[in-house]
Amino acid sequence: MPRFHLHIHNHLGETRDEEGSVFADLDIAHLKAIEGIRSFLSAELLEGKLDLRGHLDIADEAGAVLERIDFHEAVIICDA
Amino acid sequence: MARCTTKEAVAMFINRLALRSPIGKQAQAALLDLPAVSEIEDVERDFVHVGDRLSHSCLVVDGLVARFAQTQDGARSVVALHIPGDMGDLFSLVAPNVTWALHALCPTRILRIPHHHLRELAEQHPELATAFWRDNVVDANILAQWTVNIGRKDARSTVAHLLAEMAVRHQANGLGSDHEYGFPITQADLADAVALTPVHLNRVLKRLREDAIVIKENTSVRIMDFARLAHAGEFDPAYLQLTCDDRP
Repeated sequence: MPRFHLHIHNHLGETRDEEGSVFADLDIAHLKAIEGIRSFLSAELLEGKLDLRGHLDIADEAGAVLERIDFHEAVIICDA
Repeated sequence: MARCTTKEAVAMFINRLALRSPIGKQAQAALLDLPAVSEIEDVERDFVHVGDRLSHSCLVVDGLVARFAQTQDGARSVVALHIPGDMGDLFSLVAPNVTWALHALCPTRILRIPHHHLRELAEQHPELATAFWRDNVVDANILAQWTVNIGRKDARSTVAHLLAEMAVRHQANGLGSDHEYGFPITQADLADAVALTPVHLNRVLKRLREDAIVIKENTSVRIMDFARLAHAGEFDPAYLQLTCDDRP
């Protein structure tokens, strides 16, 4: 199974995922990336803030970015 | 990471027991003479399965072992980590029908020690029975502490606590140093142990590294400032019961 690296880019800078994780395919890596974004945004919410300026890159072992997920894509915001 | 011999692993187990319980020379010698079967376990493999009825306990000789609990649909969660010198399923001596699995997180060697030999030893040397009991209490204390960590602390504090705990446990078993210990655990397994996603864990580890507190390498942990690590994790080693106190 292929290894994917999920690199975070946000107001704190870049957090590179040097080790990576093995997933069956890019669809599963996408689901894990969304889950990951939601998890640290949840932790930020518990501290009373939510900063959606950022994205997560899914890269393959060679370093090529296969998909970019904006943090906005991970949550639905109802604010009307 | 230096590899242990089986005798060294038994000696580490004796030292682990003797840290907390007085054990006479005869009892120590009897433990060293225990018949056991050595096995090498592959990475990512269960060597005790959910639902097994055990007739032996497993002493970790080298490597790293996780205990997993499992939901009915097969989802698993790390509920304990065992390092060389630990007998992670000692309590199966009195509760042999297990509801969890033991899993090698890296190439790992274990000694399988038959329950009936351990039982005989406990009957012949009551101080060993007490020492086994106390060892199980420590495992229960660790589990209780992990529950508090994931239930009541933020991610940074939970991760810092685990890395501090593993440092102290390695030193108590005569492994590692003040500044470094072997920890061949993947990001995914470590994330599972602290109830985070790997993405979130990676971000927390980056902050701890940038704050010059601790660095998690692929197969080891390098501690830059233990006092700050302990502070970040609200770590107090009292629950590890590292002093020998046999007063009634």
